[in-house]
Amino acid sequence: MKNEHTDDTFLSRWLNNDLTTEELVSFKKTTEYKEYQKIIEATQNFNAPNFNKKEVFDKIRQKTNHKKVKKLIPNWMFAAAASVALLLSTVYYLTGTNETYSTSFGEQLALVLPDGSEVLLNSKSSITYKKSEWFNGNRTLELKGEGYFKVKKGATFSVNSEHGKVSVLGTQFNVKTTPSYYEVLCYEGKVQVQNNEETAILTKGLSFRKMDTKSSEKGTFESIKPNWLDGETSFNNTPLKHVLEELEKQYNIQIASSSIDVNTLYTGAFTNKNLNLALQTICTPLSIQFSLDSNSVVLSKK
Amino acid sequence: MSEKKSVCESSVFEELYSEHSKSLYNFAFYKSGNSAQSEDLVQEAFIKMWNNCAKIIFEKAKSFLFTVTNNLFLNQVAHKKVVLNYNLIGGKESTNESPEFLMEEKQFMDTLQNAIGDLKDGQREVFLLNRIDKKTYKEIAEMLSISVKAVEKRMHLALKQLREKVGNI
Repeated sequence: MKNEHTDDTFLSRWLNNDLTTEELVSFKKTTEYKEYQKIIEATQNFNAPNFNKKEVFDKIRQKTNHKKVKKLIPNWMFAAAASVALLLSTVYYLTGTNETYSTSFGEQLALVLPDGSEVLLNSKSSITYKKSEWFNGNRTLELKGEGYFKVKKGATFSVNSEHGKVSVLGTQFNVKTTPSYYEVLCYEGKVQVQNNEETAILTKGLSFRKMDTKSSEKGTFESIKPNWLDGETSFNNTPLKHVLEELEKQYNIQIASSSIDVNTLYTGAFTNKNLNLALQTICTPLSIQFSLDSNSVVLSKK
Repeated sequence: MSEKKSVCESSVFEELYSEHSKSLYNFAFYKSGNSAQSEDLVQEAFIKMWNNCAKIIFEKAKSFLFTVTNNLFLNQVAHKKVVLNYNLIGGKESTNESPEFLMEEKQFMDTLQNAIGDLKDGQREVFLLNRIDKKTYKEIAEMLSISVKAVEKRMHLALKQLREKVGNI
């Protein structure tokens, strides 16, 4: 009996149910069998301590991340990301979306353009440009209303409007353009103003103005920056209708001026902060009466 | 033949971790008897695998892990006696056994526990991997890089020695 389960793998085979029937039958008859059986049954109740799987993994992550941070993202991911980026930029380049910024009544807006140049937009104005062209070095934008530009040195910077084009290389200037009024003031550097009929070069302190169908006129001025930046709007020998137009834009009002002469020339400035005061500064010197009723103003002779 | 898996890919690494970390931990524990030390060993083995990921093919990753754990363990100083957790038969409340029986039972388990701790490292590993982790002899042979026959011998000797110590209780 004893010899039967003393070959050196006998018990292993027993555990694995690899014994022949005869071997098993005779093994079961031995006294040891019960003892082995008890040991094996008892081992069912043993278990290893709990393993903090998640915690250990986090530690491994920490220790491997900083060494090979790129490897954790497979290489093909970079290729995929690159092609997606390329595709997007191509689409973007081809379509060239327009960027538009605009202001409402009485608002002002300061903007930084893609090249670092600055624009200050006066009330009821807007600029539009194609971002993609700016990245190609073509600094062109469309202006409606009034804007003050501080241009970074670089390639030609152009401001287009319905009345013509202003191009510069790096300077500060103000452009005001409404359907019937066009004015460019140069505060620094050199500015070229171009429309269908003529081309003018402005240097510091020179202005260019064209109203209605009249021929253009050049003038001088002394301020170092536009008055509207300080909350005032100023005019120099300007027909009253343009002054009133500006007033409407700043305060979002309707002005009825049929009973007065709107071609009277006006020189002066009005504040953009107090409508009553602004109306007084315009009307008193010109002997005009005004009556203000919520959003509409009626002007009449005294 | 399926696509080759690179151990350097984090998804593959994670897969290997979730599949083998627990048995690697148990393996380390059956050797060292110290749970904190075992966690460290598992951690080190996986870090080593990550750092050498380019040199390891997926199919060999498992045996790499066990070999590394084994070597790391051998580099460390003497280990504690292995003490396992166990539950008494019948659980806490459902028992209607007599107190004497429970005492004997407890005594038997403690003796067995002790005897397991006294087994030679090689025998204890094999015995516990088979009994607790339910690994087949073939799997254990792969883990330890030894033959199936050697596993069977160790198993046989382990069981024999345990009986000699606890058999007469």
